[in-house]
Amino acid sequence: MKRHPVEPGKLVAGLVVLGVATVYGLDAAGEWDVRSLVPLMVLVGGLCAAGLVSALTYLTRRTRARTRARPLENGPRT
Amino acid sequence: MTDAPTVADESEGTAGSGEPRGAAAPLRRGRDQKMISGVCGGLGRYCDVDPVIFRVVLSVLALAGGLGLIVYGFCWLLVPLVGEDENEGRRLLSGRVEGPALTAVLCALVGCGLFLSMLNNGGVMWFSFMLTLAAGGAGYWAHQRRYAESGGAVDPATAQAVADAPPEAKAPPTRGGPGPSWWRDPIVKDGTTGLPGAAGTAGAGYLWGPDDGPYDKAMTRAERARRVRDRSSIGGWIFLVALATAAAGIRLSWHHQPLGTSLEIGLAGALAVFGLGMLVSCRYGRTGAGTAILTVVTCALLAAATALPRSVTTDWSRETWAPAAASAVRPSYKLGGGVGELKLDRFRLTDDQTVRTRADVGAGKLAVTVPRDARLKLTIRTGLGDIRLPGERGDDIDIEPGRERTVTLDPKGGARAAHGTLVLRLSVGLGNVEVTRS
Repeated sequence: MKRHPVEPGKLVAGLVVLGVATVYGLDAAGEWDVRSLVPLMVLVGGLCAAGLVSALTYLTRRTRARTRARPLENGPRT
Repeated sequence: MTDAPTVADESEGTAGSGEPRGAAAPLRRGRDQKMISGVCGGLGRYCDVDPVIFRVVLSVLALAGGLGLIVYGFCWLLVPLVGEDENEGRRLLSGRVEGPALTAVLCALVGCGLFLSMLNNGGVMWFSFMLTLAAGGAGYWAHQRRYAESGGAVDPATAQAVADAPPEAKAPPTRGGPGPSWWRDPIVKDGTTGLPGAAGTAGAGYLWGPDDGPYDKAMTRAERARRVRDRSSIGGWIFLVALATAAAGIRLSWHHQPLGTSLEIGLAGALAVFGLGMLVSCRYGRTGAGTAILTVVTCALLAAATALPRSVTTDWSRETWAPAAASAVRPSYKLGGGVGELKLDRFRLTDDQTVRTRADVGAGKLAVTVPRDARLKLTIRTGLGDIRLPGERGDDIDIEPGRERTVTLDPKGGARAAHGTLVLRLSVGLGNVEVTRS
């Protein structure tokens, strides 16, 4: 497996999915009674939020890379 | 029209009619490679494929199910000849009935007849459709390949920009434009085919055979040095581990848990694996949309498993309860999954006797047989399924979630004729309840 820069979107998605799995696990163990569709909605919403986080990360990283690259380009001219 | 134009004339004709160079020529029936009407020749020229391939495919299709004849007839009617702007169909409809048009109609008609006669022969139909799809796909691919090779795949704005830009140094072409082909080019004097310049190279331009262009060590090196996209996805492994987790969870809990809970345990394990995989992929390896979709699917299955009633068990059985006397009727009968038959018609009830019992089936069917002359007080509940009472039609199946019915049914002669009363509470989680009189 290759190491790469942290992806916060995957972190959010993983936490949401783990949480939903825990809720269903508790339901299966009889500890907690849930309405069957609620965690599914939570999961879909969480994945959408994760996508949003990924997009934001991508945008901020791109703008940061551009602002970092620009002084180097303009440096010799000024 | 009387003297067949040469290949050069024809290509000039299509190129000179306002078409930009390199754009695909429209589909026209050929005059020079023509066996019957030039349909196959035209298709071959359009797709840059040997017309013999189309001839063979259409012949086979004509014999097997008549589809070939239909296609041929309609192509003949709808595709105009090279250099003409009217097709045979239009000419036919405007009253100029000629031999070729009539032959085309007859051809399509015979094809339709054959096709209809083969309609109930599934194997032949499948073969025909598959062959049609394969031939169409091959033709389309060849057409697109030629189009892309000849540089026609760029939009006009790009073409304009490229034309305005100064020419830049170009590597020698690997394949010189559209490859020369023997079915397009005239046979040269020494008996070989292809362009006169390429006549010396054996086999140049064939559909199969050696490569057209130079393919030397430099090209090999360049090909090997090409950067391949880094594939470090761990989605496949996550899926396999999740599958194994689900199987293990379901297998371990199968025998001592209800069906819904067992499935829930396995699927919750799989979901947890997906979540862990995503957490790992936050730093190492990649997961993509496939993992997300699988996660949502797993969660949907989990929701369905949660919705299963707890009374549904993992074993499927068939149970028949037939008490021989009113005193032998148990207060309740239970079955997890399967078909439960409760026969209450083996004994006679006295006039004012009342027998109470209840029956529960988790999933499957509950069939209750009651005496002909008993008064019935029924309370029936189904989680998802159908209820059928005596006197209702057998083919009227109406599945509804969360149904509850309370009815009192008198026997045929009315309340006076009733001998005894049966008070039944019947419930089925998933399936149907059927009450019949003996």
